[in-house]
Amino acid sequence: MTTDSVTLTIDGNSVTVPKGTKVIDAAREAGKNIPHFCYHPGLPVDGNCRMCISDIRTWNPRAEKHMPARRPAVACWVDAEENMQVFTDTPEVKKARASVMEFLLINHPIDCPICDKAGECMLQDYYMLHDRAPSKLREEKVHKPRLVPFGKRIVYNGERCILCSRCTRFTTHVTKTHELGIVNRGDRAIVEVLEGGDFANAYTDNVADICPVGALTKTDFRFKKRVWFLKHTDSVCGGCSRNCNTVVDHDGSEVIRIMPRERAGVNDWWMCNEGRDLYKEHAALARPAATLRIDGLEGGTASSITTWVGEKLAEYKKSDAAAVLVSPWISNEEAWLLSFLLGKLKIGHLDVMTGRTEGALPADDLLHTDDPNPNRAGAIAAGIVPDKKAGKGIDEIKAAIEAGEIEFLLLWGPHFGNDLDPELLSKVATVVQITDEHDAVSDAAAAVLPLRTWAERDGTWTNFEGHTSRFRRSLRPPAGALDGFDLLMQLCAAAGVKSPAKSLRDARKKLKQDPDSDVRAIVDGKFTFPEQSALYRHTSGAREV
Amino acid sequence: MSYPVVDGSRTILNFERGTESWPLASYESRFGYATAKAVLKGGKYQPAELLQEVKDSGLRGRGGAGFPTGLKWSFLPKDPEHPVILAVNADESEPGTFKDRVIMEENPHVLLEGIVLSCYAMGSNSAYIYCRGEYVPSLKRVHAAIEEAYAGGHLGKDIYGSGFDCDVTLHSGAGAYICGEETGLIESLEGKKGQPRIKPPFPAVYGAFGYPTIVNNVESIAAVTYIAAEGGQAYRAWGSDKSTGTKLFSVSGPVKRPGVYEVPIGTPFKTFLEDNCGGMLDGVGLKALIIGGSSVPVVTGETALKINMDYESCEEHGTLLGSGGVIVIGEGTCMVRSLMVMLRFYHHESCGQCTPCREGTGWIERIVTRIEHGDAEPGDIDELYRIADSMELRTICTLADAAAWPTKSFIDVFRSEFEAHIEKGCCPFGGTFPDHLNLRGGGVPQRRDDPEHAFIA
Ligand SMILES: Cc1cc2nc3c(=O)[nH]c(=O)nc-3n(C[C@H](O)[C@H](O)[C@H](O)COP(=O)(O)O)c2cc1C
Ligand code: SF4
Ligand code: SF4
Ligand code: SF4
Ligand code: FES
Repeated sequence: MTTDSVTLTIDGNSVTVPKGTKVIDAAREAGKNIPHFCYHPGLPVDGNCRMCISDIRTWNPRAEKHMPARRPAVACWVDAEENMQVFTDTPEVKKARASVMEFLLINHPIDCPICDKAGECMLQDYYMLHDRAPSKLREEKVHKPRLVPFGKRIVYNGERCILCSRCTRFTTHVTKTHELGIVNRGDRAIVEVLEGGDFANAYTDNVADICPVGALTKTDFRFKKRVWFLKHTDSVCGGCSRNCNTVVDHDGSEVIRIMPRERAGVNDWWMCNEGRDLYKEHAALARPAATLRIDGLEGGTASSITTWVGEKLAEYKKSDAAAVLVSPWISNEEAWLLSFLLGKLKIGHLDVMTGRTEGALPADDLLHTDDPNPNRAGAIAAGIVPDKKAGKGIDEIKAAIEAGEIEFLLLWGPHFGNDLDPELLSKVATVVQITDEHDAVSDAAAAVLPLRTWAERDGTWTNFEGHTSRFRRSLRPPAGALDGFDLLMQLCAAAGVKSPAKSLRDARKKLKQDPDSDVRAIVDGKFTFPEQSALYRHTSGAREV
Repeated sequence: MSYPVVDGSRTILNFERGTESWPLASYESRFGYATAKAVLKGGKYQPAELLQEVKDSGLRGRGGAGFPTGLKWSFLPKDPEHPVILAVNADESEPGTFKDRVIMEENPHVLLEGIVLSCYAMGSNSAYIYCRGEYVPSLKRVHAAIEEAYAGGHLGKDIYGSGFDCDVTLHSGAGAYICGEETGLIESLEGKKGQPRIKPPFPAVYGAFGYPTIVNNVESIAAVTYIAAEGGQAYRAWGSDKSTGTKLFSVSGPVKRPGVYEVPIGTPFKTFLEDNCGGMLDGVGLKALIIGGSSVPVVTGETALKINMDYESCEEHGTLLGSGGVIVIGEGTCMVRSLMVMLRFYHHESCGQCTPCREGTGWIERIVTRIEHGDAEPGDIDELYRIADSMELRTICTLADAAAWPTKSFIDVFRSEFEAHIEKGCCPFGGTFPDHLNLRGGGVPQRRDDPEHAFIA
């Protein structure tokens, strides 16, 4: 045992935690969830709800015994100490907790049937666990304002509010924008947007997530769906290169809302409003159809077009007249297989494109980066870079197109308009576009293959700091949309290259064993871009476009 | 000349009543600042020695909790990284307590001299006086006194050429009882909403602006002047072993001479009532007593007459000396109604952070109000007791306890009155206070009309 850790017992079970750990966290380590409202691991402790009151006994070496606190202490505030004894379930503690529940409920409207939080409300959950007592209040309940807009995205209901100050602490300590405050004293207290403020920062929706009750609801979700009808799928936000881990709440065919998922070192507990709204962009996507515009070969099915593209690629083996440009929305596994295929075919003009530029917020101190695309880092690490010897990067490829030197151009993924205008593309004999979004390029390309979006397929992305996150399929893809990885395996087959992986799953295993340490690191999620590395320069260079 | 003590025990109110006692010249004629000079310039005490005198004096905090003052000071870090701050608690808002205002209005320099000496003993160079916002006369007098003291060289840099600096800042509160709680006071002083902090850390370690801070009541600090002048042992001439010195009591209710009195601690209440307060108003019997401000448990008149006004005797009789706010309750006063108005206060003043206090103070007020209006059932009394009980000891500060204790003690001591309300379906006292409490002409001496003058009987 080092001096940096302490050992204590929680209900008799011994647990060792780093010094400075709060008792409530130490208890969680020991498998005990101490009920709490105001405590949130991402916020400074406030200790106001009194729900986590526990019997915390410190060791007194002089008296050689454990001393109970004179005033029962709250587990969220007290630091774990060596040889401390914590009891979380004694009759006294339970009584204290039940009385806190009773106090919280006397003035609560208990309008669960019309409350959006119902089903994921801490007050409801703890009521079922701890109190279950009928309300004893004969008195008129305290009335407070109920439909107060907090900016455009949040609505406040003062009667449901338990004044835990999570929301105000969020604006004070996380966004540091200080819009929200608790005004008035006693049971007249309410949360308000402070005078002169507008609750319009880029992260406002988080307050509704952390509100333990239904006092803060999102205008985007209000009365849309009961939460128990939602299906939850782990996903990742592609709105910028932060890659906030998310949960997509959907009903199988439609996304209802996107919520942040805790991921230390990436987004912790938060995500931005823009990322939450991406599902609307997704729902409005114009989806491409499988198309072939080659004289004599018009029409064709997705699989015949795939074969045609694969064979065409093989025709350009070792040729200087072919180039491939990849969107930073490609997954790591797809990027890895694509780069393998092109390596075998010795097609060296290969690069990552600028990608999405619209909707780019300026980078801020909290989460948002200045690259509104998810996977530039992963694509590069997985090998989407020009061939070391003779390969051309994006600018050189554009120049070569201008000079009429490129005959075959493969475009993978959405958002190409920012780099290539149709006029430039008209100088290329054969443009093949594989994408989830129909755009101007799709109207002219020789071949188009429809892809599944981030919400419709599995994969991983790696963020700008090298952390890899996995997204899973949440929605049924529209008919005809192809899985990127499967498509790549078919392209390999058509081009006569043996795919190194039999499936996406297999690819993940192979990535782990890849000789290139950057590639291996993608899987571990330990990938880092040293400031000086060539790769990093490449990324930042690309971002400047 | 030595420190003048009037009437054998007035060390803080040691001036002729009705005279202009507050200007510097008047104070100087009463040994004013002689002690500070002797200590700072004359080398009477080293800081540690003065701290020891305060410890030896047995002085206990006069703000309510009665914590030994010298001991509190010794909790300061030995070699503090940051400057030490003294915050003088002049927020006096507890119902029934109005002693500090008399010190501030009638003898403000004894407080300032106490501040200089206390700062010297605890190694602080800056003090704040946090004064209740409604105390406009106090604010004016203390402000004027601070200016005089700076001009006279008793405050500021290098006082009396001793090299010791002491700056005093007067801060006005904005009318919140909770800003009298020491950490609520600190938050308010920092410019934030007055909400108590969770302890530990205690202010002596992490206080105002993150600096080590000692919070003491006005009367505690004022008492240091006498202790420094005459020594800790001299202070022990009054009182008992555990309750030493003199204490100010502010008396309200149907007595002949309500007001503020400084008497030896441990004076029997019976003697105090008769000698100092002139006894009860004619024809009004002593029904009950709240001896230490509204937060302490009530006792019957019978018990009251057995109490000696010190810490031990109060505890022995089931109450607390508290802040010395003596609320005398006369026969004919409805105890349910009395509790109702007290709870209205706590409900109004709860800062609202902690669930049990925020929701509980309003809840018990509503129940008592129903009982007073006869709109209650027999079970409501036990329910009230149970709720008060569950507010106790579960909150950040003791305001919740301060609302719960009187509630429980009113029921314990006067349960039959609660029952009578419920049985009758109305207030047996006619739903009002008796005439002797009618301050607009019930025969009770009135506060002088001149707001510049505090009322001293
Ligand atoms: C709700 C509440 C209000 C208080 N108000 C005052 C006050 O007005 N004046 C005061 O001196 N102490 C007040 N106190 C006590 C202070 O917290 C603190 O104990 C005191 O100022 C310490 O000074 P002392 O040791 O000199 O008594 C209050 C305590 C509570 C819980
Ligand atoms: S609105 Fe929600 S998060 Fe904010 S104080 Fe009220 S209950 Fe807590
Ligand atoms: S910060 Fe970036 S990754 Fe995170 S939610 Fe916003 S857009 Fe999405
Ligand atoms: S006990 Fe009451 S007054 Fe004290 S901190 Fe809690 S809510 Fe505020
Ligand atoms: S969770 Fe500890 S007091 Fe609220």
